[in-house]
Amino acid sequence: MATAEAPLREILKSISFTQLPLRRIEPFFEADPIAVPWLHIYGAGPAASEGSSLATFDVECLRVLAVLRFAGYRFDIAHTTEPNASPDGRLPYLVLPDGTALSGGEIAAHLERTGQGLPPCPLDGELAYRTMVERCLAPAAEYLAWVDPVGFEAVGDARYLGGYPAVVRCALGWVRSLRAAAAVRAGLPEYGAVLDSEVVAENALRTLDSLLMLLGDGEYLAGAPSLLDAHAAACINVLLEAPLKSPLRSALLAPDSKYTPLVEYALRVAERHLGT
Amino acid sequence: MSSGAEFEAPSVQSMLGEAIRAFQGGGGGGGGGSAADLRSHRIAVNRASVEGDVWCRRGFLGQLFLPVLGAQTVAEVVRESREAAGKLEVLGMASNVAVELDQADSGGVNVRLLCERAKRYRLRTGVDVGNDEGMASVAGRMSNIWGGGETAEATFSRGSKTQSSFLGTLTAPVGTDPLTQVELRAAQAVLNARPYSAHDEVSRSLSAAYRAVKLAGWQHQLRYLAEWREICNLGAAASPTLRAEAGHTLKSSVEYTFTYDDRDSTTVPTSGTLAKATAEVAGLFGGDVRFAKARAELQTNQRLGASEWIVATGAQGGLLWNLDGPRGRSSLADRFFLGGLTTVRGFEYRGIGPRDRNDSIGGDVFYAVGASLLTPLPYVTTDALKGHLWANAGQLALLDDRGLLRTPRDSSGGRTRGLADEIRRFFMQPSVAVGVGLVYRQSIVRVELSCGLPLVAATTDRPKAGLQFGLGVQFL
Repeated sequence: MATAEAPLREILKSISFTQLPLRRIEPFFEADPIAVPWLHIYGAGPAASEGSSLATFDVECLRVLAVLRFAGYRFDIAHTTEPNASPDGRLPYLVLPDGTALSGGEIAAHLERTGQGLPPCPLDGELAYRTMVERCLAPAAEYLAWVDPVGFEAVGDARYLGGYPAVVRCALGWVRSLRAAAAVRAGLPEYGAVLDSEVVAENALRTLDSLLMLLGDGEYLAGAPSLLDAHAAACINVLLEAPLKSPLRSALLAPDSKYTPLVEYALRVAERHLGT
Repeated sequence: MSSGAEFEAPSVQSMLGEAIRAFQGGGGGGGGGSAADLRSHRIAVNRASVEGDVWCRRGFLGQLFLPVLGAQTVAEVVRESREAAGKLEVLGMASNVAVELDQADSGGVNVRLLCERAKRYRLRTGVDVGNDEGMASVAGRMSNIWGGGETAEATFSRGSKTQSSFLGTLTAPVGTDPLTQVELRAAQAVLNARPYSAHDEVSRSLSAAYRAVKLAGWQHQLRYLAEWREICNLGAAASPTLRAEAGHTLKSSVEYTFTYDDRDSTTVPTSGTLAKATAEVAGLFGGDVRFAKARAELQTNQRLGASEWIVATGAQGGLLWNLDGPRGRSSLADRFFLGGLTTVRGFEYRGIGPRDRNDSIGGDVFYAVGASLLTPLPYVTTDALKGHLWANAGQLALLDDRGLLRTPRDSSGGRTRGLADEIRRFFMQPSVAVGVGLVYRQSIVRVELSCGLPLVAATTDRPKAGLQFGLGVQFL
């Protein structure tokens, strides 16, 4: 408002360009509303699950799905094959109702911030077990999907890249295969240039032996659903769901396999927490 | 190779010399007979040859001289010879081509094209200007690769919006006609769409085109394009709508472009008309996007009487129709965008149309109209600098259930508008801005400084009141 002390300044404000445009109209666009958080995971959806009850065929997506289900977090699942949509270029990612997108690594922190994080794990050395799963068991699934030639054709190419045109599929598959080989080799430095399915399986079986001992007669590895259970169950279920014979799968599903309790544990977690 | 003819009067040489003088307006009649008689005097071309530092394929030479050898009058011989010389120069095969006519031993005339060497290799660095973008580039060019006027060029560039770009082209004339060409092109570009939309767009493409240019200003182009697009590197604050667009798409399309341009300048025209129409169909030969797309542009320029006042009007429109069924949505990489100094002034770049949070989403249908008045400036003697009064309007929308096909509802959930009402509103409620400014014509680029006043804008538009500076080639 103009005053005796500053009449001109106030008058100029009233005709400032910031008052334009003179008329506002309703836009011709309305974004899709988001009522509940959406977790975007790999997969073509339930219709293309090839008879599997798992929500996805990817280890990391299953792990995050398990964590959210363990925490009782309310969310919906969206299937996609496009990791470019994620904040860090990798699936899964979680979109909140306000539009914020959280990458897989940020979801646990989000649960803590909202007071829905998992309770502290009572298991001593849980971090060591998780590191073992991350370093020895998860690479087995990665190797199976992207490095093993037969596995690449049945899993990596068919499941992850099946939705792309042939040219894009070839280029992306080649790049992803090289990166996966480098990542698996980096996680297993003691093997140097030697990288084949037998080596990877041997390392993974040693980890499974440790987990079998840890499980004992319990329902969960740590007594209650934990981050360790999320990762371990995700890895084992992916290995069990692989559509081909592998040393690991043979060891796990042999009729008199010593890993039967571990397989039952993984299937139990899948039934309770990893479905669509 | 042949030596110069010995003259004997009346000689072919003197007749042709008089004919040439007649064509050049120097009058004729020195060698007997009128200029018209000389022009129509029957003559035969015995031999045609190219001499000097030039390399031509045998087949190319045969096609080049076919009209010359078929010429039957003095006028035709001179015209066809000069045209053949011009073709060699335009195709970069030779420079400073001179035409010599000698009397043949067996009667008739021999035609010789005396050529100097043309630069076959060129390396160029410089700054280029596009619409709302400046680019630094390095380009290498090789002319006359296989002796038929073929040209290969490779360009690397970086710009304010195009982070990096590579373009390789191989162009060849059809026959010997430099105005009719076939072109093969390979390109890769990374476009940074920030801050208008939080993503990068990577494009890798191969294309083959047939292009014909007529001297009356008509140009036709038919092109096949295979393009691999990737929407990636989304920002942390990217909207959910933009995230849904991320990923890879492969486009295989056939595109036809027709252009008629008789303007006296492409940047600041004072007369003439530009009419351009493009039609594209994708999905006929593979790819995972299927659409039909059309775009048209019309621009007229008219001087007011004999004054320096120029009235320019322009209109643009486009439609992208998805062929994947009623629930299909178009891809971000194929949509139209509107807003900015080169489209609708008074708004930010991509500042009109669908927007989710801070991300411009683009649209499937748009129109834009503009009217400008270019005026002389007092105390300014150059006509390169003019005053500019303008008014622009336009609108952009999606053709899916988020855009024109959505069902707006009121707070109680009842329908507020039908499709017909929404379409009517689309055409009757454009975003509008007016303004004044200056226009400067700098060789191949137009520089504008405008003060814009947005009058009407959607609540999600980005109007830009005040000063707007930009340079480009094509403006509305």
